[in-house]
Amino acid sequence: MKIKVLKPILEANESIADEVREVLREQGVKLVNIIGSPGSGKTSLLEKTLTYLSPEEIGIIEGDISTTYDAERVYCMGAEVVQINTQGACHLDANMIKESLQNLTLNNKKIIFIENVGNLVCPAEFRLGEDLRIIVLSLTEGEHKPLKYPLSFKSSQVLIINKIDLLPHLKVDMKGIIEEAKKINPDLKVFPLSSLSGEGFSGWIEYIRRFIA
Amino acid sequence: MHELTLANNILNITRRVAQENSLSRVTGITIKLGIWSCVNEESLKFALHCIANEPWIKGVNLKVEKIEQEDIIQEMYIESIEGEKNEDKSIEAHS
Repeated sequence: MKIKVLKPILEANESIADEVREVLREQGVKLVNIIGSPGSGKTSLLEKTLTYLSPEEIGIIEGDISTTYDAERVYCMGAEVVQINTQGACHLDANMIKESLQNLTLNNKKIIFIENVGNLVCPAEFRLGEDLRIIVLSLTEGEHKPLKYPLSFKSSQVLIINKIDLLPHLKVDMKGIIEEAKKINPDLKVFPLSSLSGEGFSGWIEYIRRFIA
Repeated sequence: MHELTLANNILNITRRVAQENSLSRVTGITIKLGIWSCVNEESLKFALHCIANEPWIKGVNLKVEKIEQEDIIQEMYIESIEGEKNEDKSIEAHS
């Protein structure tokens, strides 16, 4: 006999993501999920962003397969941080976020940034209860990442093109990256910037300030 | 790499639905994936084959169908399961 099921495969994750969203909405805290390749500059983006915002209003959840290097970097900038070590898992799931929230003080926060595991495939499938998904791509990764990893670009609302200080040294076509990304996701907001020099940060900071307000 | 997580979710939902419908054996599962989903069909079948080793589901046939719609971004669900009913041999609650 055949039985109609019609249930989402990730329904367990989805329902915890809804719980996370509800808890944070009650506290008036926004949740941002940052995805991107290893080495795209997710931690550097956070470090630099913290210098423009009030670190005490920011919580950070650092996801890595192992080590606490990234957590230490953002902790030094004055933000409260929780490290998740996934012990080999390629992505964060909503339950890890739910548990991490118990280790963060929420009532003084305006925003929590999640730095996902460096990976353009798996994290895209798992909703964490975020209000905003940001994808970080560095110029050195070349023009074709959007078409190679379409779901990551399609499910994000913001694209940060990082390391633009390297532009004079590379053959990469930045306009081409933006065109390809917009082909996948026409609504994508794009901020080319350098987390090293701070070039291009004003637009991004204005965007995130308005998002928190 | 997340196919094992998905396989595990498929197994859990299938077990629950089979119990609710008093199935004693599940022979087929049909899932639907959005065209943007990054799931490798062969990896998913292999993962499910590795973990679905209890008698009630061993050898299950997983059918993967694509949802050919551009505007569906993140969608993957179990469409249906097929199985046999035998009131005397229902599936145990936990493996």
